[in-house]
Amino acid sequence: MSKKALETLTESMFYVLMALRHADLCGTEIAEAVEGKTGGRVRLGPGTLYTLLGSFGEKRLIEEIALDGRKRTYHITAKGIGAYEDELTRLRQCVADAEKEALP
Amino acid sequence: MKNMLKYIPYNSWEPEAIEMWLSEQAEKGLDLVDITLHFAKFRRAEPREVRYRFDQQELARLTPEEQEYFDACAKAGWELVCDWGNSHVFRTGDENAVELQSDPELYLRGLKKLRRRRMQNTCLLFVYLVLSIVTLFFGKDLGFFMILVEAGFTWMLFLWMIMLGAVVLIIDDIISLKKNKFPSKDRSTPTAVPKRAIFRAVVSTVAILSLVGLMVCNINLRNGSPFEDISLPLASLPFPTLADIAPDEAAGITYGNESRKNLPAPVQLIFRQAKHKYETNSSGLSVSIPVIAYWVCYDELWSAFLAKGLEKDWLKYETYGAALSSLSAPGFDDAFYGTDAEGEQLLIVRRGKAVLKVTYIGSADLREHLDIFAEKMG
Repeated sequence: MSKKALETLTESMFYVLMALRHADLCGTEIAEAVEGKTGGRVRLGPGTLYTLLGSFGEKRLIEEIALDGRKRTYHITAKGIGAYEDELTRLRQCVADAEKEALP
Repeated sequence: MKNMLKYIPYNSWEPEAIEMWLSEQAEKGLDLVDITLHFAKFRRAEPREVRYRFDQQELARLTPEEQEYFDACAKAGWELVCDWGNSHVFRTGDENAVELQSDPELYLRGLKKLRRRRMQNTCLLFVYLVLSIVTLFFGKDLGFFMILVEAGFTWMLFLWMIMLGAVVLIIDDIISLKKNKFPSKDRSTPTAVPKRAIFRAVVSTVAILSLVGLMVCNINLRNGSPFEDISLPLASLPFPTLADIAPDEAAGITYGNESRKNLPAPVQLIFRQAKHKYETNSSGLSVSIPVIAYWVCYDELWSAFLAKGLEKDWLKYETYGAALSSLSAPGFDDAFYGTDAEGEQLLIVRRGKAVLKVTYIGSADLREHLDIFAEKMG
């Protein structure tokens, strides 16, 4: 995935980084965390999840910190936190703009 | 239960179309077992509604034993059927199973990347095609025809087959890339991909013909050409022997006949008659010196164009220092003659698609016997 493609995070990307923001998790735990956090609205398919973990790893947004059998645990890096917070700021701005627009 | 093989009527870079096609097969009671090359192997089963998905994973370069990705797929209700190229092929009958690629934007990015790569390959194929044509038609100035004939034309047939295949593939790609629509983001709208059965059939036919052609070439090479038969009657040769040119010199020379192996269409025959004397050189070694030598190389090609190309190559590369000049010879399209410093004569003549080169050391003058050459080559 190109650097440009990561500049604006998709919903899945955003939630994966959010899940890793407070704890180191493995793939299935990330999927469960995202589903729980969104009340089942966002369900990460395994294809999407592992594509993201691969590309985030390449871009050093996350890093693999443990391997237990087939289970790999990931940790968000400072760069990953930065990407998450940039996106959060952008989304807040979007919401603020929309709320301003909604005022009479 | 008996398995069934079916040719996949789509390109490998149209996974969404193949997925739909596989689902259609399942509705007809054919369950995918494996995919080899471009053939899908099915087994008979109860007709059912299933979704097939092709998933490419960078992480999945690791083996299944090392990778929790496969566990996650199984947990989500997806059965791994087989691998095909870089893709893992999954299926599920559970309509509530989450999509493997649940992020439509990422999914479309991947699909576009796949097609972009394919377009690059198509462009490279086009460049190859152009280079092949340029080499074929303009390479004669580089001795290309001579090389082809020396190589026995096997590669020429192969080259033509590959070029034909390239043309078909490029047309197929252009048409399909133009008509193919990306699936809707939620994948609820099926992709409308027309089956290009005719094109796929042509591609397959060309591929099969290429293989058969190569096999025939190899069998011919192994068995030898008809001209390899040393007992070929002299009278049936398409050119004169030394006995026709200088009967006195030919007396006592048993003829030697070499041949080269070629495809059935072009014929190549090399014929040699020679008488040697032996002398001791300054190093005390006995060396053989031709007193009389009559050497013919005869080629009958597929067309006058090719024969002319080979003739040009000979004139450029095989004159051995002899200064050749053009001759006016009735019965020939072209005729060239010359002698080298040691008096060896060289004659090159062409009539239509047959071209002949004679090297001669002897007392006769080849120019005085052109009528015999014309008669034999007729």
